[in-house]
Amino acid sequence: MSESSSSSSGLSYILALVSLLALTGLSFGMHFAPLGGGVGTLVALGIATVKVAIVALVFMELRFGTTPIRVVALTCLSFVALLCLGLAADVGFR
Amino acid sequence: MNRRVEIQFESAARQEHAVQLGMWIFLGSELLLFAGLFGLYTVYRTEYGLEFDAGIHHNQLLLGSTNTVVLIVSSFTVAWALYNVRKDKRDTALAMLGITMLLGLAFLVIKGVEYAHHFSEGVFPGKAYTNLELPGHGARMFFTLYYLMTGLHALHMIGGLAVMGWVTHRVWTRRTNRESHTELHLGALYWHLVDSIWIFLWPLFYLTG
Repeated sequence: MSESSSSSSGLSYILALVSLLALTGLSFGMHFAPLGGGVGTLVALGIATVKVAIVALVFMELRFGTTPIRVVALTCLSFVALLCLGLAADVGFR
Repeated sequence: MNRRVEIQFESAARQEHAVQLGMWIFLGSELLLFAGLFGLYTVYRTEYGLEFDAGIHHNQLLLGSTNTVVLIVSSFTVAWALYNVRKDKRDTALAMLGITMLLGLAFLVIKGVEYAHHFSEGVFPGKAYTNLELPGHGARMFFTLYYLMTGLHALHMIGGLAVMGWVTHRVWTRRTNRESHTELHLGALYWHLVDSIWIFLWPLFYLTG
């Protein structure tokens, strides 16, 4: 399989690194912001989700992945999210 | 690509796709291994919110944050190594792989410093927990999950370092090169998964209290 046409460019790697470090700084800064516990947690996990998306799309080259590979990745992430949301809803609304 | 095509594949491209898909399924199973622990964390945090908040504040934010930066930079260096192997720049790739392994070791050393500090305070997992500053059952559960999840993650880091060492040796001996570098690609995917898991562990154990 030719990978030259299906891999990230050097610039995209550097932009991804800068974005990831900036988002890490943002998460760190938000820790000291006067947000409520629930809102702060949602913001931090939201930023973490964006960061993992950058890692997956650029560093792991998921954006060039075939449909079966994307299906595997999305299915696993969806199952993890469903598990955590279902458990939180179960315990939270008892 | 000069890799031998196995008899069950009609072309090198098909074989390469099967290898990639197999790796992603493996990464998916790894993710589901952690999913159980993330689920446990969700349950106990919902049950013991205040004690989890106290546990998060007790952890050393600076060390956890440093480790986050260390892993993100290491993800970049391993991606940059693969990029340079594809460009046939072997020396740069070797340098990047060396930096990746050094960053991985730095992560484990920092994690070891954290663990040593916790041990000195009586913060152990399970029934061995004797810390008097945070005496509740919720705090004990928080630190038990902390050790379980960061410990399992650290074991994956050690596995990743072993893979990186093997791949670096292959690049050094030119067996991994511009034409044939599947093992480096797969090793990098594993390293990025370990980084991605930490990206979620960091807010759960250091930030969101």
